[in-house]
Amino acid sequence: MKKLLVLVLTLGLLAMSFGAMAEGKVAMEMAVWNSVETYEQINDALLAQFPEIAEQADIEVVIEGDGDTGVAQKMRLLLGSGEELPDMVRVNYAQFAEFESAGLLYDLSEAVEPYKDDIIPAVLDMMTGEDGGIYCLPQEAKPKVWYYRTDVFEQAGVDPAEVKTAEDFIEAGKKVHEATGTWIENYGTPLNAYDLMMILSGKDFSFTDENGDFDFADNEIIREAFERLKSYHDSGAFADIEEWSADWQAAFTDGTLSSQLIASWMKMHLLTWAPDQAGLWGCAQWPEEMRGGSDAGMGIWIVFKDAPHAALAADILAKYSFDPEFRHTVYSINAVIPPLESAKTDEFYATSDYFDASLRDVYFEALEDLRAYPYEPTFSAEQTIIRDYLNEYLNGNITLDEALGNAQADMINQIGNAYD
Amino acid sequence: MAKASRTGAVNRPRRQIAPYLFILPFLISFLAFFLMPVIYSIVISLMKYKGYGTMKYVGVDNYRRLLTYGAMWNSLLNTLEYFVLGMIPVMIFAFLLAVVVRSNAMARWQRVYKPLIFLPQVCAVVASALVFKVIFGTNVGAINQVLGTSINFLGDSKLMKLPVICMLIWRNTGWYFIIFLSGLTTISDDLIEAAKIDGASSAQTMFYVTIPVMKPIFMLTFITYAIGAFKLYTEPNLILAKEEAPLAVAPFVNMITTNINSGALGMACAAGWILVVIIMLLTLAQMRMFKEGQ
Repeated sequence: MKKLLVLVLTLGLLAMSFGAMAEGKVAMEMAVWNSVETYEQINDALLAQFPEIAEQADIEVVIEGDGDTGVAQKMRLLLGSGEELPDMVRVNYAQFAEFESAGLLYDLSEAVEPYKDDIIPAVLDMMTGEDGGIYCLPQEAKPKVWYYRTDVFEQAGVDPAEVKTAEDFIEAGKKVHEATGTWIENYGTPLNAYDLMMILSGKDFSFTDENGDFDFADNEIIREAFERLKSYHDSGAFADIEEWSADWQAAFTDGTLSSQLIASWMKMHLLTWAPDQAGLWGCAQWPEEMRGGSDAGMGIWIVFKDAPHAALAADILAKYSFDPEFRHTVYSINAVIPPLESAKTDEFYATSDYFDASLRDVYFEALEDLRAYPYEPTFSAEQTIIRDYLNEYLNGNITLDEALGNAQADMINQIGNAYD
Repeated sequence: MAKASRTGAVNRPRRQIAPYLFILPFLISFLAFFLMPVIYSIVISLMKYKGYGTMKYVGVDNYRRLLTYGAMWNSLLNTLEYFVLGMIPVMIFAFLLAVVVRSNAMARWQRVYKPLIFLPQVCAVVASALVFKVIFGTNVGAINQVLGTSINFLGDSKLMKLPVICMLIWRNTGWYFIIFLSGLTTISDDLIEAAKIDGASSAQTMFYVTIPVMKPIFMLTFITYAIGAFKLYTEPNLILAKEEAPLAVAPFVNMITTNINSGALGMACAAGWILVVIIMLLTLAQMRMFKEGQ
């Protein structure tokens, strides 16, 4: 009986695979991290909306790591071993420089051409490589935005539009806390590197000079950013809660945190962590003197030159990222607004049960000034070193000069040259 | 006779080859999946290599960079701290629990206690770490709520190791309890009875009979614990961070993973080999200590 069952199953599987081959379909892989559900939902919708793709491909979503760095590492191993690469790979913009500068990515220009004029220029600029080709597509463009509880700010008499400087922001924090008992931000240590990068990405600078040699310790922009975070940390105006801790999520759920100066991706977490606060959240620009930039630029899709179905993957991802009609479906699944000029006036994105009407307009206004730090191929190592000295400085264990000097010394010791 | 001798001469080489044929599958897998990667990782540790593209020979530069990197020594100290502060209570609790469960008074309840004490080992380490993260939370944490305090266990660098050590004790006690219990069952009842007949008290029996007989088991547990402790990675990184723990509290393995994530495979391999040397030295020291004790 068992043998019969095994035989039937084997034949069934064979028939299915032959069936797929007979239909001329190819099996494609989409590499992501953490979970597959949302991507699978979007892919099902994609195949339903584009029968010509459904006729050509089956898409399997696979988890290749527990974060963007995990996926990037898996790709390095596959590249090194010569094993088959996934067709579509989700990483963050921080990993783009490494693969693009090594000439490993497939040029997506042809697939993107039909949508090119509709793409927000700042985003198109980030998608473009050194040679003018297009080598990544936005999974989500992530400009800096300020999410806040409209009811709390109204009660405290604080208007985000009037908060223009870092000092104003500290004052607003104190005012809201005194009036409502809630906090408008949290700067508990260890601080994440993106808090620093959000300040730095708005400026045009790099940790290295043009030759890749680290030029960090004497850089005034970095010094100011460290000092600004220290002033936030010591001000008493913000909650001493560490991001991504259990306390952080709970603070949104129970209303302890009433705003967050962050990037656009935070909205998904608000929807999940504080569903009872639907209709109470608004969106504003960052204080004027801190505008521009992002935390990490964009979540991106890349296609490797050596991927088995690179051309088809490019075509799929272009539709996935830019087809105006399909983006409505994507928005209803993951709440990501596409970085398209046509979406600016699309009423579909102006409606949200959770946020007030400000969301779409603020997002697009911030998107105009989307910039990312000019990531070096060795950014991950740099970030680890800098974050640690930043936290030592914030906790008062070392001086600013020591933090910057030691970070530079460690980067030179551990990395050498960023482009070597 | 001559025929028999000739047949024997013919069969001898076959008999000599046979054992090797039996272990050939192991030898092939050993060569392919252990020895070759080991040699390859030594080679990579002398290179600058991202994992793809060209390798650039840098000699012992990767080792030099690591050995002159303050954070590496700090992570080594952190690991030693996790090792010592975790091992002492684990060994004491595990041994005492094993003695109690092995005692005649508790013999009836062994079936209940053994799985209960072993249970933390079965729990998924990721899930357990997330639970500990919640237990030690500043505002929502069970400990702070019970004490009515707001101690920042997960953010204050002086306290951050405590949740990790607590979890290590919680998880490892059951494992070493089982090892000690199996060791205790090998001690002959006659030996214990002979000690009692000679007038030894329970404490004397424990210190002069049970513990000396258990010495090889202690050696095994100390060595396996040390090896495991130096490979510590999951607990501190999951409890103390979203991805990687800050260098101030990071274990040594983070030296490997940070370099892997940065595409510095040469440095990662060099860090791996430094870890191998440390574990070897520690194991030799432990073996020597026990040998001298004997």
